[in-house]
Amino acid sequence: MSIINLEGITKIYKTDEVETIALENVNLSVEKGDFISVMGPSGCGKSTLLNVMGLLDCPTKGIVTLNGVDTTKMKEKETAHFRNKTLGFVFQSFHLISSLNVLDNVELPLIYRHGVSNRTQRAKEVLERVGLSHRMRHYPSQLSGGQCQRVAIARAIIGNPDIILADEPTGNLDSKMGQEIIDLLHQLNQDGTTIVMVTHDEQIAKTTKQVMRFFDGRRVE
Amino acid sequence: MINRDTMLKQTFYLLRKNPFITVISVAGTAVAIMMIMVILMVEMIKTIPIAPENNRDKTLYIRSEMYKNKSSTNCGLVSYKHYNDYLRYLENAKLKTLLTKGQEIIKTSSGSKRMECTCSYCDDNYWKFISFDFVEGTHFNREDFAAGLNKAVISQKLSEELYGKKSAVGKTFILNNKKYSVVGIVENISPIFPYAYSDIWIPYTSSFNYEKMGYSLLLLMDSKKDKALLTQEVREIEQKFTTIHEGELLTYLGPYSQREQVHNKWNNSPTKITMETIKLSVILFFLFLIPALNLSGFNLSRIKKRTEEIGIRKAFGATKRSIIRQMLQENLITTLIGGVLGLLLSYIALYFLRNHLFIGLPADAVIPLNAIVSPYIFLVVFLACILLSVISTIVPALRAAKFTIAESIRS
Repeated sequence: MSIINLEGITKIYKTDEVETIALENVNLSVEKGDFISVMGPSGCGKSTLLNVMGLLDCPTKGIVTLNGVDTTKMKEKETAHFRNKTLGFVFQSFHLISSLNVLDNVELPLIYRHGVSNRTQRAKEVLERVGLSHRMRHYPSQLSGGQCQRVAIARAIIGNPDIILADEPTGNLDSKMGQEIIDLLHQLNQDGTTIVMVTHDEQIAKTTKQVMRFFDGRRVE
Repeated sequence: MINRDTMLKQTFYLLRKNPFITVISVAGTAVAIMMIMVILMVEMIKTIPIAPENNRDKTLYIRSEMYKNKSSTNCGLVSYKHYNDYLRYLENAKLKTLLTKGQEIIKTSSGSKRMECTCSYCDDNYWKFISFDFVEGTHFNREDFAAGLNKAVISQKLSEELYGKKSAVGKTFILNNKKYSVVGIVENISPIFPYAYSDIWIPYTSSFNYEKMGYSLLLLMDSKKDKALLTQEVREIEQKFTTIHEGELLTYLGPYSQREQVHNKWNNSPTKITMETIKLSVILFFLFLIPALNLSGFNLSRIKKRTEEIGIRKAFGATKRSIIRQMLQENLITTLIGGVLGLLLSYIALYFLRNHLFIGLPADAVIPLNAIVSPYIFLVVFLACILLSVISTIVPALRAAKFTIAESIRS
């Protein structure tokens, strides 16, 4: 059974003067436990695809089905709760909250989930898993890029999501740190998490189970 | 729900991180709260029950009457004769007291000291209306009053001026060519309490012309609900008077509640109190609105800087509602800091401007601490902070929550 299913997804950005087609009639499905790389030149719609897949943006047309649930008709509150339970995000620029320390950043998804009492304990456990338990009281500005991305991964996995969407997670890291992050993602995938990752790096893409290529908003491979 | 510790930590981090905006926001809030609190405190000091005038909420006042016959019209204080003939029989009043004041010259029995004092002419019930703290001795009683004995209660200040540090109880002074004996000394009362304040309190029956003097009548009710009954009774007395005295008219102004008598002064217009309330509300509305709009501008720029954070929170499960709630809670903390500062500033302003704010207040008069440090005042400040916080945050927070997640994160 596919965990992600996109049917006829089109995304058009409109301004007063210009209409830009970011995605055009995209159909794809991802099986549970897959590790997929999405590749393509800049501006081909990779990030838009990830945003639509992660319910961070609405498609202009088409249906997004996640975990067998049609998300198109969900209300704002339902979408928020669904995203919280099902999805984890890793961004190229980490997007950690600078005014929160590492522990509070990692706890973030759980504060929006009802009935979670051991948030801090769980945050400590995932920080241990990404090798950053000694940095939990630090602020993001006090960490290296690689450490920030590991915090971002800890934040993405703390809620045990079924899917992790990673948008160029190694884009801002040197090759050694990048490799560490990819190894971490492979470990998560081995533990059963489905991962969709946007990347420009062919070497990294080759390590994943499947590669999807995009060009001008369309899937070409 | 967001952990309170985390929220507090983040709020204080952000306050420290943007010192200029923080100072402007807190100062703006403080000035707004100060202006509002000065106005409200002046109003509250005049109207709410505060020791020694603890019974204000259950007291009604009749301070003047209008008597009209075929040839003349007289307006003035309540006459003793009419009180004695009619008002003393008011059935719905739990207690009545007749009181008048005057500036009198007193001197010590030896004649060595002479001074002008505020003198209250009252009855024995008066001591049940007002809660005085006796430093020494006690007040004159019913028998003393009925017999018109020359007994006096004096303030601590007067006691010290007349007799120094020695006990004044049993000592005498001359007032209106009569020798009065001091039976009690009370702690000094601030002139902001018009019915309690005085230097000397004597039984009005000790004055040779008390039946010709004008008075204020204070009526104590069991509950506020008795006001309608008492008003009805007073109107019936007026009708009865006209029935007995053909061609004559007796009209009492009141009975008024504390708030009505503060604002109505000598005017019997029923619309006056409504107008006063509207006026006060309009002033307070603008005092709220102007700083709230300014703070709203600051909050907008502050929240705009956090667009990315809002996007991240939403990506990980925050709803629009939780974002708005967080913004409101965070802003409330800033506003409460400003509120505490504003309250302190309002005390300072009240101290230095007291003679302008309370007309007729002597230059050396002080506002007692219990009048300005009370649960009422703290509750009002807290409510004012919540209101200011909501007005200044709601629009920026709604706007921030409206962005799509992708837009916010891209920002």
